[in-house]
Amino acid sequence: MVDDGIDFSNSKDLIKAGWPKEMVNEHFNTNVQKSSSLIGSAIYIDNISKSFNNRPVLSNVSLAIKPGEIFGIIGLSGTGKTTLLNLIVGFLEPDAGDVVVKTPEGSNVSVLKFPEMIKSIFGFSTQYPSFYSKLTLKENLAYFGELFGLKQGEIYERTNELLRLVKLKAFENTLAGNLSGGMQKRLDIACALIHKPNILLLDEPTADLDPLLRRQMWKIIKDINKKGTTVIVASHFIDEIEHYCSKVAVLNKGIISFEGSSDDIKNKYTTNFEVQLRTSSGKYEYLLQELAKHSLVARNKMLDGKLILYTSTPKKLLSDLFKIVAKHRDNVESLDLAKPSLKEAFEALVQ
Amino acid sequence: MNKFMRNTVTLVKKNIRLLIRAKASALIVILGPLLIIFLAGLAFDNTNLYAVKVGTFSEKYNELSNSFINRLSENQFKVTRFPEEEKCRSAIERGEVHTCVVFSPDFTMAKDKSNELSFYIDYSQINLVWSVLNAMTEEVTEKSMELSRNLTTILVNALEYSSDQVREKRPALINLTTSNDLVNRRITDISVRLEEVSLDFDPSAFGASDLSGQKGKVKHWVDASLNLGSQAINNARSFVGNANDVVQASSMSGEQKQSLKDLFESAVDEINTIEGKMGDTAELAESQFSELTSLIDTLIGKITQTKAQMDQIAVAHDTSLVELDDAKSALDGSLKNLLDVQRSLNNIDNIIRSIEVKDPEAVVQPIVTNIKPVISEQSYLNYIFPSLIVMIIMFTALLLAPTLILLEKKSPAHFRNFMAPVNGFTYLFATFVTCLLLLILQSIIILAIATIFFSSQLFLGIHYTIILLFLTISLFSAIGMIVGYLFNSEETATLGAISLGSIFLFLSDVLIPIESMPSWFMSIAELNPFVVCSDLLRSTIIYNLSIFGLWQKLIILLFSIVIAAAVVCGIYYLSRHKSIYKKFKKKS
Repeated sequence: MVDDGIDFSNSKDLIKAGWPKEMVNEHFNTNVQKSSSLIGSAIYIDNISKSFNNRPVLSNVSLAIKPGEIFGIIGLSGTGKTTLLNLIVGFLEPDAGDVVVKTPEGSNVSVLKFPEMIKSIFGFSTQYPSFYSKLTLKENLAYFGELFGLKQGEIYERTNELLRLVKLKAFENTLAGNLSGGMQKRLDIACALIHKPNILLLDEPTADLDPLLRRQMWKIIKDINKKGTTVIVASHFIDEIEHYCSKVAVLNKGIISFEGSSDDIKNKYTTNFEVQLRTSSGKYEYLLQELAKHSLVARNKMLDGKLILYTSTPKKLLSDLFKIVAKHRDNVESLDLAKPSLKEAFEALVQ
Repeated sequence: MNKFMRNTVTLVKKNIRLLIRAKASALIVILGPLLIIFLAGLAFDNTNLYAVKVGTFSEKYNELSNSFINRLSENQFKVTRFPEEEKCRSAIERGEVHTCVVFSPDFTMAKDKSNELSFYIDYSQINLVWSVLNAMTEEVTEKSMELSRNLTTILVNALEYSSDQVREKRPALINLTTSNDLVNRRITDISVRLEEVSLDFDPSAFGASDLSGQKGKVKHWVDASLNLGSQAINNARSFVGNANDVVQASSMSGEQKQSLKDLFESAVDEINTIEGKMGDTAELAESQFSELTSLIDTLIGKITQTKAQMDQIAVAHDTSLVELDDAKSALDGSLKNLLDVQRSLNNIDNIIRSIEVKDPEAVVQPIVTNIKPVISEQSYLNYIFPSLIVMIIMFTALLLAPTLILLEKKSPAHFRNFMAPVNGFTYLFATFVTCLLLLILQSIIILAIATIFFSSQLFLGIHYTIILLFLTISLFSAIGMIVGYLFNSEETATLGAISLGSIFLFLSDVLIPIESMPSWFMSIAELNPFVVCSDLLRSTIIYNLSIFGLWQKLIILLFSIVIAAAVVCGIYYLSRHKSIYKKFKKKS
């Protein structure tokens, strides 16, 4: 990273620029020490802890995120997802631990010690859009582009590129505050991407969006990722994380309960299949009473007029289901059998 | 352009865009002050006091009191007449009138009379009271002078008429004096001549008695002569007779004798004739003597009579002389008086003429109290302009800077700004520059508007004014930024800014003179940025002084800017992260 003519990845340049030699050496020595953990990682979160008013929010969190990943962080509300993202970008200072980031030049920089150096590496789209509602889309992008030191030509090209990417080109001269919620989310992502960051952090990118917009949003995220940007997404839409993220970390009570792929979690934390049933009557009490006698269902819930059943013996359950429905002169309108979802695994993990 | 300046320009552009697009803020912060200066320009572009409501009370209005009231009305005072003094006075308390004028009973111009006007003033309206007092006093003085002028005009006219009369009548007086003198002289001459006239009448000097004696003597002599003549005639006759006898007796021829006898006879005839004549003469002499005697007697009588008359004349002469003396004395006295009168009149005339000031205006007001401003007569706006522009800058800066800061603080983009690789000082500096630019722009517009009311005076010390305006804007921008970074909501920041501005105003001479404050309070007030800036600008705008002549205040101003800047930086670095985090935490 070059800022004001200084190559921050070069220790000699930093010392020449007046940085304390000890600090620079410590920084680069630290990198060397952590190098084994950082091999192949874009970000290495090293035993990070953070508490607010003596209330621990994160405790000894460690994560390694590889370049090009879409890394999902899931967790219940208040478990510290946003705090973790803030610690990654250096907005919050950890009580302990550090975050080390690989620069485009390949050197590793401590976020804690050199927070200003890593700002260009990250693009951060927070849960609530962070731009000026009284500026047009173009003005917002140009403004942030200028702050990140982009030249006018670059800004022009990058603005058009990003507006096309987030499908807001037609609204480039609209005041940002006049956009819909989904558009604002997309604009926020565009703002986060204006300076071509290596790593894009998205905090609840699909919150408050309808399913269609959520799908559009994820398509955009995928497109961004395809261009080589590492994406870290914190969301409570577990199914989306399951669907779009290559790797997932489950944050529970301030610690990483699990880190791996969705399948890894599901394999580890669930054995049940998910049966989704809709009947003509829409009444399921008789069904649950009958099934309870057979102990075939681990648990159940109602969702959108459907009865969702979790079972480890799907064949037996399906057989019994049809019989019970027929016995009560009801009809099966739809029936789906699915492998256990990440959500179920997450719920199991959290519980 | 280095990164710092590039980022500053970017941030300033953004700030201005945001401010302009936040219509309410733009309206209040940008247009508000312009409106204020425009309205102030219109409101204060005069030196008169309009819309002062005056209540009056008089037991009996008359020509004089009415003329005074009319004068007030003509000068745009709103005059209300009250039926009672108490009602007039209480109207001030109710705010219906600003002052109550009470005319003394029988308020008229009359001999040996002094009219009295009483004013009731509400001193709780401290700003208004002096203006009202001033206006009323001015009106009363004007009216009083008008009356005085009229009276003086009459007096001066009378004096001038007297002077004219003195001059006009002076020849007559001189003639009178001259005549008097002439008469006096003539009287003197007459007196002298009269004195020279001897009225001594000696009847004996006429020799009447001598004349009688002489007459007797002459008569005696005549009688003697006649006797002698008679004797001579007789002797002649005798002689002729004798001669004839002798002749007759002689031998002479008869003829001879005859001739001689004839001669003798003719001689006797002649002697007879002579004798006859002598008789006649005697008779005549006798009659003449009688007549002479009569005449002498008459003469003596006349002389006696004349003497008596002369005696009377002498008495009259003496009396006349005395009277002439009296008359002369009187004339002398009169002349003296005339001269005195003339001298007095001359003196009066000279005195009147020597009165150089005859213009009633000058007599009424021999000493014209001309309260001159240090500078040429101007409208109120000129006088209050330095305070006004500092007040506008102060309030604009105190509102603009927090508005900008809170627009940023409240903006969701605040976090993204924090994430940008831009030094915190750049944001701080950009906010300051934005304030500076907008206020400079405002100041330019204000100055432009003000020139409409100022003419060219403003531009005399424009270079110093610009420097001071720049420093003033810098100081109040920095103070406004402190307010902005101290508060976290627009409402509290606005309240804080207005409170701070009010404190600055309260501690200035806008409400009450600083000099009227307690000394320790005055010392604080003198360090008030508003006071310092106003004083400096007043010196440059109104008096066209160099700012370097006011180096003490300039140093206070510069020192205040440095302190304010340091405080801003301190508060900014302490509050920035905290405010973002608070907002962030609140949202998450």
